[in-house]
Amino acid sequence: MIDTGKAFCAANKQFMNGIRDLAQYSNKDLLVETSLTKFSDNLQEMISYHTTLFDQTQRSIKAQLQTFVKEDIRKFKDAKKQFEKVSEEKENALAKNAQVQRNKQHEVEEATNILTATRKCFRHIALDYVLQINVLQSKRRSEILKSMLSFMSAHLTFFHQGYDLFSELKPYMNDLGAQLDRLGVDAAKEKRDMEQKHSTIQQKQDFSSDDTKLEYNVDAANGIVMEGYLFKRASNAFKTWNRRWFSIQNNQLVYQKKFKDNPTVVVEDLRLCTVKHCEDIERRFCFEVVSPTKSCMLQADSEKLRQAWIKAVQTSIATAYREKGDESEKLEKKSSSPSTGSLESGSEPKEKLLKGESALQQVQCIAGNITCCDCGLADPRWASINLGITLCIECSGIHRSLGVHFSKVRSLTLDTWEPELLKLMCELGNGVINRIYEAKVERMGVKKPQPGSQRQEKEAYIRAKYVERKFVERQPASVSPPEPGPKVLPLSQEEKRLSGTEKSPLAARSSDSGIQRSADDSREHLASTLSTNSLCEPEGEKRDPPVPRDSTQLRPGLQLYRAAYKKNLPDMAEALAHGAEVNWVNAEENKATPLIQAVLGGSLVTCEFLLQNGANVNHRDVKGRGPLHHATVLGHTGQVCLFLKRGANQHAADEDGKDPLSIAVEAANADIVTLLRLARMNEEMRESEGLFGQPGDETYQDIFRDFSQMASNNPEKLNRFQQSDSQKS
Amino acid sequence: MRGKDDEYDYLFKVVLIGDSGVGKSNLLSRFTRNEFNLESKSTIGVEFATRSIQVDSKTVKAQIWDTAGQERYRAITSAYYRGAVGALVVYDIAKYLTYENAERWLKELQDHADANIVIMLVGNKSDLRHLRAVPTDEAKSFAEKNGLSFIETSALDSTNVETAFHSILAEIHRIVSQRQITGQQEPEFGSSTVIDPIKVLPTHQEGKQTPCCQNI
Repeated sequence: MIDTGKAFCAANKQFMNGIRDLAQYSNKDLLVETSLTKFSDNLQEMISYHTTLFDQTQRSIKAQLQTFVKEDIRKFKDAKKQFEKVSEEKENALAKNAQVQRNKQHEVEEATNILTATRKCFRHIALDYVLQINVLQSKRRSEILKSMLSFMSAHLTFFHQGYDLFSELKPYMNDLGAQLDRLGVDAAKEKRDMEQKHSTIQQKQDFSSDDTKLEYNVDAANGIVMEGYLFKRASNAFKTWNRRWFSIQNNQLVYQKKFKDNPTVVVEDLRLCTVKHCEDIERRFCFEVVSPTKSCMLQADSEKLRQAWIKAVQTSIATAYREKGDESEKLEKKSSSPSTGSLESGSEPKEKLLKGESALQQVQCIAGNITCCDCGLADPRWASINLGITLCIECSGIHRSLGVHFSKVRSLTLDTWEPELLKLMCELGNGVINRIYEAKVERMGVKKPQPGSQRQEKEAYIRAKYVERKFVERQPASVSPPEPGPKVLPLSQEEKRLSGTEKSPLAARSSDSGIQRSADDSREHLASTLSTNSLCEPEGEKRDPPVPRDSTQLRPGLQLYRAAYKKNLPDMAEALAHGAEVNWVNAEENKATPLIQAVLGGSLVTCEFLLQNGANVNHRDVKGRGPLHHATVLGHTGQVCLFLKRGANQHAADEDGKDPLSIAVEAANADIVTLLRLARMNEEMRESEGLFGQPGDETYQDIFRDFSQMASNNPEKLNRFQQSDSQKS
Repeated sequence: MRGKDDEYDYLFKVVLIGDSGVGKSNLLSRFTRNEFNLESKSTIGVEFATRSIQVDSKTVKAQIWDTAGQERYRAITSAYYRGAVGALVVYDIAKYLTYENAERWLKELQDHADANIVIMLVGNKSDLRHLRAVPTDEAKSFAEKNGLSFIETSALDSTNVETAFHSILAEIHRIVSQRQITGQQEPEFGSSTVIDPIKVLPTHQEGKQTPCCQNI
């Protein structure tokens, strides 16, 4: 019985744990969870009571009875043995007594004596035995009753405890009961509601049973015009159809694989797209969204849905055009609303590109960028990427007419912005550029055009400003405040580099000759004179130490050269405004160019700035190394990626006969090797253009996009080879 | 300037993956250039090579991506697998660990490659008979279980190298041509009789690949 009881307890415990688990699973429902936990706690208590009960039973019955059986019965058995022995002796004596012959008087006497003695002894023992039996009898009764009593009292405590426990629990149970009633009523009501809805929907659906959601809403608050499932045809060779959740939001067509996934952007700007039916395909209900870069084949579930989608896309395109002007603020707000916030924080960088809106937002944040750089009109939506300024649409038109060697115009909303270009825009800005290009405007009494000015007036001003550079301070602008801090540092770094990493004697010599006259001056002093000379001192031309006498062209060139190394974009812009030749060659430093300096400086944005301003990506120094060589040697993966995108020739060999690839292989830099080989393969593929689409091309673009994103957004990821490099050198 | 070699009907991207030192690069060089190098160095990043073969009277150009097996020589990009329609998961029959790791490489394909990618398990270095550590039957049944085709090759003595590449390219071609949907070229109505994309033969697992075990 005890064993069964124990098994019962164990089973009970398991049940309890089950309840606990259930409580844990339903931890979203507070009511269920708390009540379940409470009940299980109480039941737990009950089980522990039960266990004690069984313990006691064990002790009272089993233990006591056992002692009784063991001790008393043994005593009794002893007595019994003794009695039997004595009775045997008596029998023997009787027998002897009977055998004795009459004539032997002596023997008769002896036998009679023995018999009497034995008989006496027997009587004694028999009496004892009877006593023993009586004692045992009475003891047995009491013992059994006693243990039964204690067993019963254990039960009594058990049930008593149970009663106490449950009477404590009772109010709660009553409460819960009431709540349950209420819940039941609610559930019934809900069910009724649902049934009602169900029937109404069924009635509605009588007409078209498969119409899921046909409505699209252009002004939807969350920016989602329409969403739903569509089949998308994969762009690889398999052309697999996959069902994806598509939505149109913020002028983009995006889809998600799973609900929680970050959306993948199919079409970045619907304005650049067309949508059309597609009948020449064996699947039904297909339509195609065609953007300048790709086309995407989609399939709806029904003809009606297809119509709805096509209409929704068309309407979105139309609204997007209308919104372009004044409603854009609203759009911006939308894009930062939580429902679409996932677009920005997407962890899937492959397909994600910076959208027009966010480029606009980022660039307009920069000082002075909130109004047009040339006429001051608010909310400029165009930009000149080589100058790093924002423009209104009219001024951007004038900039275009200047030619790309003066200004490269892009739309902040319609164009796709590569991350490095966006960074470039954020490093410059109207404030910085106007301090350079409009330095003398007030002094010369020239009136800057207003938003309402005539086009001719604006055009004349813009020409004077950027082509003739009339308002640029002839001598280095005294207004622009030099920042001594950053300038001192990079120079000493540069010196370190010249004497350290560049091991050629030529480089060391040239660094000497460049700053020879101040050689005895302290380094800091030298640095400060250098910076003040190049920026503020009007009569600096004569004592400018790094520049040999006469050349007026050389000075801005050198300024550009040095600023490129120091990653100082405003300085570089100023040097260019002063007429610096972007491909200026420093004859004294290996015939390096500003672009090579920018590579050595390690900044991606400076490289991009120079490239946008016409720097030759393939100019090689005296050792036959171009920017791509240098970036490879230094392990600057982001720069390698940029140069390859900008058409760098990777087949050129330096004086040691090494091309960038062999340098990268030697350095075992997997990222750069991959980029170089991929670009090589892409070249080959392009040369032998196939009949079908080129998957190599797409992968190539994907991988380069990956690396561009990484270089601009998490450059530390690309630095994994940097360490081993520095250890080697 | 397009020579005869440059004309092709299909271009398939195939990736070679597997542990370092199993002979991926030599499989590639044997197939594309009929070369073998006993002392080849570790691949850094990725290497490419192409070769065109005839499949069902069509010219199929294979663009083969030979990736680094060693982790520190792999570039940070999941794009190795992007656009790939075939993958050779290579191990060394004389090194059991490289076979065990095949599972890890399969996982990598699952995570990054197209779900329909055709995968072949390749036990390379079959010439090392006296050093064999992976029984053919074991690898074969593993391949069957995972719906992969299977072959043992030797880049050193050329055994089965052609067969391996040919059969995976033929398999890809079979799937692609059956799936091919109009719109790419000429919207021929004849082809619109094919209504559904092909039914992949049932496999033991998720029915992704067609098992077509090669006999060795």
